[in-house]
Amino acid sequence: MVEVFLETVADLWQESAFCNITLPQGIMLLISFVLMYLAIVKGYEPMLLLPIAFGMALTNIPGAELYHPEFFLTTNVDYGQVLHDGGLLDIIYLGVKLQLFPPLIFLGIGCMTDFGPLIANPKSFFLGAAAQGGIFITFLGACALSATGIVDFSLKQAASIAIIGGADGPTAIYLTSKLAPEMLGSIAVAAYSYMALVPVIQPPIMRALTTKKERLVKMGQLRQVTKREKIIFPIAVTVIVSFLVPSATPLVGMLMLGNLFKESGVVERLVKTASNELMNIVTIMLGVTVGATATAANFLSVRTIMIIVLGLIAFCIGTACGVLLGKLMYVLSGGKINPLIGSAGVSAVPMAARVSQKVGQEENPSNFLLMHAMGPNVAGVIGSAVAAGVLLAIFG
Amino acid sequence: MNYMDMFNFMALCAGDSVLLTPSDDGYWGLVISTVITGIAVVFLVLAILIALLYLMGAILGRKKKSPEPVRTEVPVVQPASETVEEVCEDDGEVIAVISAAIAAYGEAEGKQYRITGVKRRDKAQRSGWSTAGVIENTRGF
Repeated sequence: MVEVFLETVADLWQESAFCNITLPQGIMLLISFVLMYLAIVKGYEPMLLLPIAFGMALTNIPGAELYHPEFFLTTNVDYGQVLHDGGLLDIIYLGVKLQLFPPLIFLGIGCMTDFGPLIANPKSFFLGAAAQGGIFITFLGACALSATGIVDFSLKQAASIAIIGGADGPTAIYLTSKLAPEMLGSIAVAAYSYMALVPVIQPPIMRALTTKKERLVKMGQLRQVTKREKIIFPIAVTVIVSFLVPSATPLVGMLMLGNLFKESGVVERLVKTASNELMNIVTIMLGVTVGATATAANFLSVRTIMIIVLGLIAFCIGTACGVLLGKLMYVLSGGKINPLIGSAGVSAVPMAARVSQKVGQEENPSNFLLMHAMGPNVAGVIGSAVAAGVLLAIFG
Repeated sequence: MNYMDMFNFMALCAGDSVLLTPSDDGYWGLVISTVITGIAVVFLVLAILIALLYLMGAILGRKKKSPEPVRTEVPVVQPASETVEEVCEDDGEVIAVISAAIAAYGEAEGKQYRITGVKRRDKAQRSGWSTAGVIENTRGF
């Protein structure tokens, strides 16, 4: 009797994670704890970083069998196998693999976004477009790095890394899940970490590329935008962007649907649900499963370090491109446009706009740039979705 | 070759060439054309949206002149002396922030506000419904 008991305990111990954990998995668990610390204590984008970190921890527990990366490596996924043999996170991950979650997040974002400052000052769209330059220049850089032999990125992987420069988490996840799902965990962690670091990364670049005189520019009052314009805007943008870049339709379409819900004023309940309950549910599932893709084999490599470095470069170049076009617009407008709002062309809404406001107020406390910076900021969301659509059309 | 032809051509090339490596012929051609096309398409799409917005503004927008004179100073809080209750340091900061927010909002509508009194609202007087409404509206902040 005692022997049977001891044998059973021994078997259980042999099957436990303590006996089966490898060093890389242990390192991944420690990394997940660091990310949890950053999310909880430092407040780095906790809404996404906390579930990502916890998903990372769950997937690296040996024997838990919550996520099987090998199920999703092929182009033609065997969904029957996923449903039959998959774990909890395999099944939830289908929402990412089938590209369901990022557009739903965009629906919620559309419900919470006010495009008024953009409609009042359409030139902001140029600043949103310029900031996406970081994406394509980084794509070039990633390809050049591959050519040197330091690391080997395919074209699809290079495109996925480059999208970090758009500073848009759902867009990065949407594109990467299609082009390079094996890098999803690394790219998501990099994207959300840099979004949280916008107040740290952007100001030095903004100060370096602008003069004091330019930073002191006070911009004129924005015109009033009518309700009719705000209602027609999402419909028109959806039609135009979808016709020109059909592969951007899922993201831009859902973004504009959410915005139309909000601006129409006739579907308050849908707005409330999309911007609260739906957004929260999808955020939980997206975050946990994206974190789950960060297995030890995928994450602990030179590639991850290169992704983190290239992602930072993409972000910095995007900021610089926006500010430089802002300087050009300052010259062409006769000094009416403050170049600082150009840095808000990255899609980190509303943090990037707040950074423009803060840097502007450092020079002149009475300079309120926030609403002027919101124009390029929300334009950047559309711009990064279009950029992702272009990359998806070429490499998807 | 128009814009859509170029786009489709690129997609077709990439479809056959997505596995190219740096040592293969055509790799750098595809990379550079992706960069140029990507930047060009993003600018083109957003330029069309700019044109649309200007058109929309001309047809549907109300032209509103900036109110004169344009204020250049931070909105000044001018509480009426007879109604200001004792204001501690924290309250002064809160009052300034709320005043600035109201002034910025008023500026957008061409209105100017002057504070005539500051009185703390007794929270106990607020009904449960009112409290729930305030909490719901300020939750995002």
